[in-house]
Amino acid sequence: MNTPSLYREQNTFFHKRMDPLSKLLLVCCLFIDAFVVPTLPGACLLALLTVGLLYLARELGRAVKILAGCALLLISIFLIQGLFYQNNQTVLLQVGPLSFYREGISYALKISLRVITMIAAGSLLVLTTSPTDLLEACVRRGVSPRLAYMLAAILQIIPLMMRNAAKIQEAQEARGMAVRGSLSTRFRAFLPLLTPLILSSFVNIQERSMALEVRGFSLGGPRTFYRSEPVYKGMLPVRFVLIGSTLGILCWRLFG
Amino acid sequence: MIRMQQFTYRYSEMARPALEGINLVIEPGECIGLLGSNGAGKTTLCYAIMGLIPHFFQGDLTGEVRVNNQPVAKMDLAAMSRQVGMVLQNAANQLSGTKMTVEEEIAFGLENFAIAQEEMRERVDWALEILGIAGIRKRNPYQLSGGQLQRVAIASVLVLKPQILLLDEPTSQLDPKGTEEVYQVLRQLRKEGITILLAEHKVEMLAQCCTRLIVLNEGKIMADASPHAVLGHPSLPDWGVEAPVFTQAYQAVVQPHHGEKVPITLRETIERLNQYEQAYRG
Ligand SMILES: Nc1ncnc2c1ncn2[C@@H]1O[C@H](COP(=O)(O)OP(=O)(O)O)[C@@H](O)[C@H]1O
Ligand SMILES: [Mg+2]
Repeated sequence: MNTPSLYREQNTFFHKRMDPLSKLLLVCCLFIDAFVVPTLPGACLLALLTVGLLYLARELGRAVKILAGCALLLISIFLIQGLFYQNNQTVLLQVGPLSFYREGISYALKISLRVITMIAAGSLLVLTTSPTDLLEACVRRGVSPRLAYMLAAILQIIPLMMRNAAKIQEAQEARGMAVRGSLSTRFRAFLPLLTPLILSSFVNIQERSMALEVRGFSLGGPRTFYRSEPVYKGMLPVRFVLIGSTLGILCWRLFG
Repeated sequence: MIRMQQFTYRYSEMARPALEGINLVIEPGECIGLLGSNGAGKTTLCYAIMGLIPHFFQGDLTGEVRVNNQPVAKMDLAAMSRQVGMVLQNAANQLSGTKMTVEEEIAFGLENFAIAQEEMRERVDWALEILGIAGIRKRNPYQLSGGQLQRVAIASVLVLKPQILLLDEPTSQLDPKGTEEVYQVLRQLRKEGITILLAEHKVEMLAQCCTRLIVLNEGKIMADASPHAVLGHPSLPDWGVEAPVFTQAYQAVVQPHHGEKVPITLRETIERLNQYEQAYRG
């Protein structure tokens, strides 16, 4: 059993020398940039940049797995826009009665690149940051512990579900269900997994919140920290560059 | 000191009260075992003393619970948790879910109470020491054995220095080795003068460790007396509780007359059977 977290200790700039809040800022900037960059090459560049950062953080492999998990979303973007985008004019591909249009496909490409940028940016934060560090950094800056805890809990949902899924899958396998093999077998095995998965994730919530209560969690007022805050050097310029470049892009979009 | 007076409580969605007409006084330093079959009301009794009833659970309540002479219903839960600590039945649910090491997990409550860092470290060291888990302080709390996890859960509550400790079936998920580890800790805590209330099915362990046993059945107190008196009581099976196997064996062999003090631990049983054998030979 592992701590429900996707974080894994490694020795890279992102893991060791960049503080959690700067990483959070980086993610926010990438999100904003992804939305405001207008052109296809721009979106492409941004996605490449983010993927490059993941490569530097040595987490590209696991990020690709997360992206693959979102493949259904990406495919549906291409289907919908390719078929129904309002400015569709030029037929690119004809499959039976269905026509895919060039304009729709290029629009879908742009959106997909945005989505990829955002998922990759989010993965960068989640994969390189210990949830404790992020949570403590926020609470030290005056974010209410309750809110910080909720955010951390949301970040933990995916790994928690993955862990439970593995456990339940094992149990099903032990009872002779086919869970491995071709894509369709896997998919059919996944459906009966959903109910126990969701139930088991929620059944303990009451007890857990009780345990938090009796350890003074809902106490208002100041808090102290068991660990001293780690010192990160040279993050101020990084933050300036991040905020500056994002503001630059915003201004260029608004007034340029 | 804990005092319950004519305490009756019904969970809002239930038809019957989970506890009915409970009268109880627990003095400082007592170590009390709470017996009863599933659904007898052991957990509910712990919730009532902790103040989770009425602060966390809704329902109908009459009577009163006082801890150190203050009515629990009028105190807030966080303030209560510095006087009374409760270890939940499922130790994994006791974890905050936000800490990556055992020592930080144990410090979680102290952080909430804004204890200064220096004192926090001292208290965490103390708790680690007393539970015998100093060796795993840097480990991930989600990668521990059952016995270790249970001890971390106890430490995380004990670190707030409550005078009263409530443990809800602390060994229900443990093997004999893990169980023994936990009971060693409890014996140590008794020496520290902490009042202990222990809901437990393993009567053999309670017989060794407690000064007093309370039997609950369908929300009512059936017996409240010394371990010898309770475990030798002829109605014990009717209350859904089995006597220790040693006691049962002794009763089957010797067939003691009514009111005789029966042995309740292995050592006592061997002694008494030896006496019996000698008397029989002589
Ligand atoms: N959270 C709850 N909501 C409603 N009813 C409950 C709840 N917890 C326990 N009960 C009921 O209260 C009674 C006593 O349960 P409990 O105190 O858990 O017993 P024990 O711990 O001895 O097994 C049972 O009938 C049970 O169904
Ligand atoms: Mg119970």
